[in-house]
Amino acid sequence: MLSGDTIVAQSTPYGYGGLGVLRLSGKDSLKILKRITKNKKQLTPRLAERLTVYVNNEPVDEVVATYYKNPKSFTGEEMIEISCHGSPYIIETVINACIQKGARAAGPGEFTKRAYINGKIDLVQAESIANMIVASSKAGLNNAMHGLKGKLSKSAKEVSNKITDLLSYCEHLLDVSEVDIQKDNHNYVKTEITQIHKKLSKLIENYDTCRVMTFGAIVALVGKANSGKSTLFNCLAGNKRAIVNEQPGTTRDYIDTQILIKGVPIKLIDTAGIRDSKNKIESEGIDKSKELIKSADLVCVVSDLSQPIDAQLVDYIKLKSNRYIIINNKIDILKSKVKLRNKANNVHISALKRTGIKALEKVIIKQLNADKIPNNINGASTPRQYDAINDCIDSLTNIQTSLLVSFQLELMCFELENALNSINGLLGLSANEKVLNRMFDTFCVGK
Amino acid sequence: MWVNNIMKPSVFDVIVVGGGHAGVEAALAAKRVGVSVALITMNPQTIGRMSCNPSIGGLAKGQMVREIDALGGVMGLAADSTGTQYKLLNKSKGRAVWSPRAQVDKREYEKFIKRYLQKKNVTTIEGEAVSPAVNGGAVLGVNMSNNDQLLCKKLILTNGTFLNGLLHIGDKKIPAGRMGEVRSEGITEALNSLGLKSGRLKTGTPPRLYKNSINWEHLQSIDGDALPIPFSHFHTSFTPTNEPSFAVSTNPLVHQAIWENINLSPMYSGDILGVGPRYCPSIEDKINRFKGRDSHRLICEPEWKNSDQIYLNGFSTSLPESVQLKALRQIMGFNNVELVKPGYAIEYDYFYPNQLKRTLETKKITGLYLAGQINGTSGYEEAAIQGLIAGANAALSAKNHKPLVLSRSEAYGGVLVDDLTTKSTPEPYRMFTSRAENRLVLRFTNASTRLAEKAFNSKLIDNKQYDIMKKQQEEVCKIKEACKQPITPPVANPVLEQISEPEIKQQIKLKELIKRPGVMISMFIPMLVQKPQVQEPYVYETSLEADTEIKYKGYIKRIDKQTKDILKNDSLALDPKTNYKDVEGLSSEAQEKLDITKPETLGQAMRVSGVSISDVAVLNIYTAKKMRVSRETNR
Repeated sequence: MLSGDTIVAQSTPYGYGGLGVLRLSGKDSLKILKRITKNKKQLTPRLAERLTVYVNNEPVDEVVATYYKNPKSFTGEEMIEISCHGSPYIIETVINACIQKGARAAGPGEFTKRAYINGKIDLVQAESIANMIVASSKAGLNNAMHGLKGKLSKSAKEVSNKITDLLSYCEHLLDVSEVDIQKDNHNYVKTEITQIHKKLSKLIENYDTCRVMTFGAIVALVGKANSGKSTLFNCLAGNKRAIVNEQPGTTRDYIDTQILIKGVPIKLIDTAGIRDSKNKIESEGIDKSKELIKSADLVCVVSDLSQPIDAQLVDYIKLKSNRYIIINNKIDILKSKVKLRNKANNVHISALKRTGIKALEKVIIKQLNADKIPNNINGASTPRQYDAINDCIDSLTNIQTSLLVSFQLELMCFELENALNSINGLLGLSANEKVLNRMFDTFCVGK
Repeated sequence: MWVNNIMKPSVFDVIVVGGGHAGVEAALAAKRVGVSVALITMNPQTIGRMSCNPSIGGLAKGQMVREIDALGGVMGLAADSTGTQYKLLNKSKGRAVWSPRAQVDKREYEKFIKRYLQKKNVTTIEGEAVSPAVNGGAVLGVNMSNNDQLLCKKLILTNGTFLNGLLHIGDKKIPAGRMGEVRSEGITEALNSLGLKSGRLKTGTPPRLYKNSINWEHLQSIDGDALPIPFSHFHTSFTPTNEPSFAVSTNPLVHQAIWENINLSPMYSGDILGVGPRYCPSIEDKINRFKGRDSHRLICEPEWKNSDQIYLNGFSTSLPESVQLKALRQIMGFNNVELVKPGYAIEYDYFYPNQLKRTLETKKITGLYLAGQINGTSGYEEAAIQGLIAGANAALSAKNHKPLVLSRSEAYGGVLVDDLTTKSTPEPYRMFTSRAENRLVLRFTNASTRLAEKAFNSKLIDNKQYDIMKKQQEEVCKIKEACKQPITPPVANPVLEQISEPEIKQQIKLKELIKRPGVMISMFIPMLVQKPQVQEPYVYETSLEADTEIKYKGYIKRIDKQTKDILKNDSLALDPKTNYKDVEGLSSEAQEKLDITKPETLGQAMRVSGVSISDVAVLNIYTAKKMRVSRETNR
């Protein structure tokens, strides 16, 4: 990927549209464009040029090409953006033409990776690009924009500089004669650590919100077979996606859909009913349900009011999940007119009759902490960013809670170095190839 | 010309030029490996001389002396035989950086070294070497100033500060190697003409004071540790004297006297050269760097037993003699002080050490090795360990054996060589604990665990020495094993009460108790081990090492993980003939720096300054591709 070959890929989503944009990046970009368009004219950087693409001397499309001269391009290389007409067939033909003339189909995230390698953006900014593309809410987009503009990078760089200063200060103390170390040295280290700790904590305090706003929250519906999960799923999703059948065990794997509740993006997942099943496919579905319980942001236990609640399941969820609510379904079949009162994590509905749904939505949003979204949130929004900052905080906490007490300098230096590596890893300054590849693999081709 | 003509082969396997700390260790190491060795010196009287401080060891250096000893070197033995006061430094900082240090009798020290060389049958030749004799890019001998040519397979240059040495005292300049000793000329030019690049460095030494001119009543006496810790692993008993040294403090008047004349100091670099924060050799620098401090501590150290001259530790300077006197006389007790020798700076040639392989052989000339201050380092210990590495490798290479390469993760010596060969520091390189990322495992108490095996395989130590070190390691294991035993409240609590530690309520494993910072294994040793299997001088440190291994277990585990990465990258060899200008994708800075350094491994390349993480990615792919190509063509 770094050997300087030229890559090509479609940058707009696959499908029919008014336009389809593809990008060429690498040192042969201009040469390849000349070959596919038979254009002899010198292209002026950043000036859109109307050209015709030929395949086997047959014109296939009228396109608009814009040339970006290195290093003033997104990737930092010679780059051309070609706007074709938006038919998948045309776009594929133009891409194939480029490949025939010497380009290579780009791997996932390769354009952004080149931009990173060529120092055009740092790792946080690269992630922000991915986040902007997937961002499913205004707040998420906002945070991604901040990331791209380098707001999180700037904060991380500040912290990195501060830790570097403090580390060299401590290293220096390690190397000077003992009699030169005094109380003021201890106090300085202590205040600095406290300040850095505070700064970092700020960057992750809104993590859940940032992540939810960018990627959506995962809300899983679980419960005994035939408790009405799929009916509720359809009710919330507003269509008939899940198969509803009175036979228990109808939903064998899980299905999901993207919905918006009060502007909050949610990935709603309907799981297999949990019960002991002899059916192999179905029991695989049940295993997956158990996995989901662990990873979901919110677990909704759907329970049939006419049946005793599955206490074992509730206990299991209490143990494995951070947040859960109990949804008592089928209030429509209750004979008595008992007043049913909702609590913070206990609501009553009828999925079939669509009663109590508004109240349920409110509870879900509240449980996700998404009812009060701060304006202008800035901070970690991906697990990678969160982990890096958290590792850094862990090291500092270690110093604060134990090492400072007896001023164990060499161990403090060790922890500070770890902290520095974590925060530099966030920026991609010390990330190894493995981390990079994993990160850029999550991108779609063409970004 | 022959000083001792024990044997004179027509061709020596190894010739060492220089009889300082590097030269001595080089000659002895080569001898231990089992080849014929000669040591050339301008003056046999000065062999083993301590030209500056009357002490061995200290921060990070103490660990290095231990390493030298584990590799069979002489420095630890010599210091232990002539030490007058022992102190474990850095006790307030955390045990991985605890460093042994000893005051030594300089005169006895050099006598010991000379006797030792004789005992080991090292041929000593008096004369001045002027240039290596080279043919076809390989060494064949050394040319002497009297037009003799001595033949050898391997040549080690350890010329120290003598290459075109120039003394500075204020604006006075005196050509010399040390004060009162002739400098050597011609070597630099000869090596330059062979294509080796040289630069110039400065280092300094403090003034020596007349003992009788000091009013000792005003000085504060400092004793050494009651329990002295030896440098060498091989004693059966160890009872050095414990003679006090004496401390005084500078005051604002002293600082003012220096500050007013600071422009007269050639050594004062201050902010001008941007010397790093880790290095502050001169009093001028200290005063500039710590403007908030109105006092610095100075130690008066006798240079030898009943010495009439006193070494003033902490007052390295190149100010004019009159300023030195004026400043010192502001100190209580020094009001009438007189100088035997003023402090001075010495400027000398050195060769950029990134022209060396990790064996300290020059990349350009086969069989030519450089060690010690000629590589831009400062300090006895730094010189000695380089000498040992160069001497061992020259001999191993002469015998066609595998080289001795120490990794950064296993020894300060490894850090030293790696830093020298990958970075070119613009200042004299002194070892600090902060240079070693692995310092938590580079302890003075585990040097033998780290190095004995390697030393034995390279024949640097004999069976007996190896067994002694093995036994010490076994003792540590035994103590650790014993700590897995449970301990009950009635046994533990009386001990805990004595040290005001919280009592235990239930029986726990002893090692859990040891994990408390305030609890030491030694408090329980009588209950643990019947009778220590190591010699008496090592009873304390084996228990200390076991204690550390238990207390630092979590950290050591984390480091081991990092070490694996270091070792992996260090085992990935790069072709020394690579033309980095041809490697596409490298930044131009990386191309330039790598072309100068020509690193031996990917790990080394990563540590060359100016090489970024994306450059490393490029190198990774480049080498992988090359390996694939060569595999395919070999098929």
